[in-house]
Parts: sequence; C-alpha cells; structure tokens
Amino acid sequence: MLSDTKLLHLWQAGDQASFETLFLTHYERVYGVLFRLSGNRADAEDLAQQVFLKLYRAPKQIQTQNGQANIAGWLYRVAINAGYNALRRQRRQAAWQEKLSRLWPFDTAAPDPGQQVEQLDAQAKVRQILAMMKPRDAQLLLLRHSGFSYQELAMILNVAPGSIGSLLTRAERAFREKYQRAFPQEGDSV
Amino acid sequence: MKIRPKRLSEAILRAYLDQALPARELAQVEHDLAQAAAPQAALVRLRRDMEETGQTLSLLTPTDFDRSPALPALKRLQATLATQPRGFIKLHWIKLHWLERILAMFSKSFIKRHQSAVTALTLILLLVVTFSFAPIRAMAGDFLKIFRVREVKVIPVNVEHLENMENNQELSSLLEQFSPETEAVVDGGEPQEVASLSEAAARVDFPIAEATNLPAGAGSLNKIAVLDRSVHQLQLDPDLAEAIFEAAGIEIDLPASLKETPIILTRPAMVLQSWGSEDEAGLRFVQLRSPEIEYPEDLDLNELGVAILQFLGRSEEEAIAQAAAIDWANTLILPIPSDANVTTTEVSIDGAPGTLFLEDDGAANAVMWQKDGLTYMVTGPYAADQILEIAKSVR
Repeated sequence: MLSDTKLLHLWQAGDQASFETLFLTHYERVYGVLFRLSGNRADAEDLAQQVFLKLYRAPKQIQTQNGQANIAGWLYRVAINAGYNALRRQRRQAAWQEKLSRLWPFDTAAPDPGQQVEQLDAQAKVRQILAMMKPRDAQLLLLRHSGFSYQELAMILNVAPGSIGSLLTRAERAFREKYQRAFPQEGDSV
Repeated sequence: MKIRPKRLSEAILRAYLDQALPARELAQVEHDLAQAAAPQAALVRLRRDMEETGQTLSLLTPTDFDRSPALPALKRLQATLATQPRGFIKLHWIKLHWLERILAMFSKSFIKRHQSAVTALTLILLLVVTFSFAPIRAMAGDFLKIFRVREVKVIPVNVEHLENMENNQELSSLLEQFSPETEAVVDGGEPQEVASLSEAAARVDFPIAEATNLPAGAGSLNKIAVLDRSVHQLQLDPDLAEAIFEAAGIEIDLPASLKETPIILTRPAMVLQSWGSEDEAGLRFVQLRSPEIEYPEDLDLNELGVAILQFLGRSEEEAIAQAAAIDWANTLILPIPSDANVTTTEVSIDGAPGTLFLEDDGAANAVMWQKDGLTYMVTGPYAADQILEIAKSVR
C-alpha cells in the first residue's frame, strides 16, 4: 500500500487514481469528525466535500518535511476549522430560527419532542462546551474520541507523541470543569 | 521500591489506559503499579474520569444511520468536478442541499433526523407550508376562515436585528415560555414510491402535470412518490403572544377566540418526481394542492401582518406602508434571512405568479409558482433560464 506522501506526489503529477485513494482512505474519518461538530449528515457531508475539494484544487498547499507530507494533519486541521466555522454559523442561525419558530411555531417537528429532543439537547451541550475550549484541547478531544491513535494525534497536531497523554488528561479535565460549571445540575454525568 | 513520580505521571497512566505505551515502557509501568497503592488509586480515578468524559463525548458519535460511505461521496465529488471549472469554489450540489431539504422537509423522518440543525431555509419553507394566507372561500355558516396559497411575497429579514433581540431580556424570557401545543391530527407519514404517474394520480385529487421540456443530461425519471395529506393543529396563547409583541415594542390585540379555537394547517397530498441519480442533486418536481390554514374569523390578518413586519425589523411606518401593499388574504409570506446567500426574483410562469430562487453566485436553484389552486416547485442544478424553461413546460 502506497503512503500518503507517495500518493500525493503521484496526484500532483496528474494521477487521478491517487487522489481517489487518498479520498477513500480519509473520507470516513474526516466525515466522522465533521459529523461530531455539525450534528447532521447533510452538513457533515457538505463540509467533508469542501475539505477534499480544497485538497483537489490545491494539493501544493500541503508542505513536506524531510520528504514526508502530513496529509492527515492538513486534512483534519482543515476539517476542524471548517466544522467550527459551520458550528458558529449554525448557532447564529439557531438563535433567530428559534425566535421565528416561536412566533410561528407550526413546525411539524414540534409534535415529536420526547427522547429525540433530549438527545439533541445533550449533543448541543457537548458542542457548546467544545466551542468554549481552547482550540487545541477541543481538537484533541474530538479526534481522540473519533478513534485516532496517539501517533496520529501527534502527527495531526504537530506535537511529540509522548505528550499526548498529558495533553489529553488536561483537555478532558478542562472539558469536565467547563461542563459542570455550565450545567451544574448534570455535573455527575461527566 | 520508591515510585518515581515522573514514571507514573498522569500522562503515563493515561497512555497506559489508552494502551498507547511501547511494550518496554508498558512492562515497566505494570511493574511499578504492582508496587504501590497510590498510583493504583490514581489509575482508578483517571479511568473513571476518562470513561465518564468519553461517555459524554460519545453522544456526538454518528449512528449507523448517519454514516456516510466513502464511495458514493467520491462519486458526488467527481460529478461536481466534471461539471464545474477549476476555481469555482462552492460546489453546486452543496448549494443544492437546502433545496433537497425543502423537498424532504415533508418527510417525518427527515425532520426527526435534522431537528437540531434545521437550516434557515428549511424553516422558512416550513413557514411556506404553514404561514400561508390565500382565501378560497369562507365556509358558509362556519366560524372559521380557510385560506389557500395564491401568491408568494418575499420579505428580507435582517438577521442582525433578530440577534439583537437576544439583548432584550424580557422578550427572551417570554419567548422561552412560548411553546404552543401542536398536534398532528392526520399524519402524512413518509413518501410512498409508486410505479407510474397514473398510479400517483389515483392517490391525489388533482390532475398531475408533467414537465415536457427537460434539459439534456437530466437523465431518466427515476422516482415518483406520493406523500399523503397531513393536518396539524396548533393552540396559541394570545395573551402570551401579545406580551411577546409588546416586549418587542409592538402593539397588537389578538382575539380571545385563539384560546379556544386552534389554528389548523392542512398540507394536501403531494406528488414528487426526481430525475437522474439519487446520489446527486438532479432535477426535482413537486406539485400539490396549495396548503390551507384555518383560523378564527376575528383574527385580523392585516394587523397581524403589520406586527410581524415590525418584528422582522421594519419601523412601524415602514411596516404599515409595506403591509398596505400586500394582499394578506391571498399572499404567503416568505421571510428570507440576510445571511441566506439567496436572492429571489418575482417571475411569471405562463401568467401565474412565481418566485425564482438564485444563489448569490448566480446559479439558479428553484422556482416555485401557484396556478389554479396548485403549488408547483422545480429545483435542479440549472441556470436561471433553464429552470424557468422547465417550469414553463409544465402541462
């Protein structure tokens, strides 16, 4: 199996199949990270496509160090930035949507509050806390809980692999503290 | 043996729990852990914290239903790349998502899935279906009025104005309390696929029209579906609604009858047709009898219209002037937010009033029009003139 660096070089030389391999290798994880941030499939798919389109349009944006191209690092950084931008946009829109929908609350979703609403509410709280955290801490938590290994995290975040354990512990502690401060009645659940 | 703090630091213990230690270090840590109680207790605490935080963060994990396989995603990207020149940053199919959502918004499962992230335009189009004012007839001897969509009026909404309302604590507090009860009287369910237009025609009470001039490359008709009629009723608290308007600096008297009489929305059965691959945003055509809304006779729509325009950011004078130009009894109000990146143009489709929706970069996405008591909508990845040609070919 060819490395990302080799695939990038082939793609830069015009080999379409190499781009397809890069896409198929990374798409589902990029999508997974974006889903966690956006909370819905359509938005996550849109954002993931934008990330790969950016890669397709400008593969030279990815710099090489010691002959190695950190494609994963680039992809997930771009994805997380795109995800956070979308999240901010979403929160802005949600604020006025809520006002409109309260004025004309004919939304057919309304009759089905129940468990789904609770779940969505809980997800929104988690995203709210992530958005309040230091970007690197939030990125670390998102990526780690998306299944990335220490090695991969180190590569994406450009830090030493030996520091990941410490960074993770710190980030999780910050997450718990902020969550408990924001939602004290639910403090026991974190 | 004395445990060296550095060896069993939190970072090391965390990496141990995550099974991220190299084999040699792992053996050493296990050895050290076996020698002392304190690090074991620290490990237990760390594991508990890690698991609890992990459980909270796992709320964000996509379910099986939300997974997005890579291969269809690659095909979508390739289709986009094949049709768009380099440098055209915004993907066409991406822009079409809101239109897809408009089409899908009638689907109960769609609404459930996307409840947390219903886009601005989806909400607006929900309002299209719900906040529709167009009278057909007054029901003789009845205390209700019935209206049906005959015309669409687009009203730009300044999003900043609505955001600024957040600073109005009284208003925010009242809005928090405003949660009218909505009940599905008749559930339209999910769209049911049918084999032919004649089968669809047998399930609805209007003659089905067909688009006769399709653009090259639209592909073949791949799906016909019927979505059955749905009826929802909503019970408003007029006192609270008045208080909300008042907090926003708007005076209005709503009839007490709203307390007793629900507002009833009827979305008649609709027929959906789609061409091309389901994976891509292709040509879509929707037709339905125009939605109806029933409300108490003594509700003054013009007065409500003025109040709504003020709520959307108009001054009282502007609202009165604008409201006077709107035939509230026949017009569906379509608020478009200032950050929607969509512009609208009034068009005529065979003499019938319609609205063309254009993305800011000029690509046409949809046209909606009303004729003879029916509402039609065509969406697709086509330029303005093409999409209008399709609409005009509907017979």
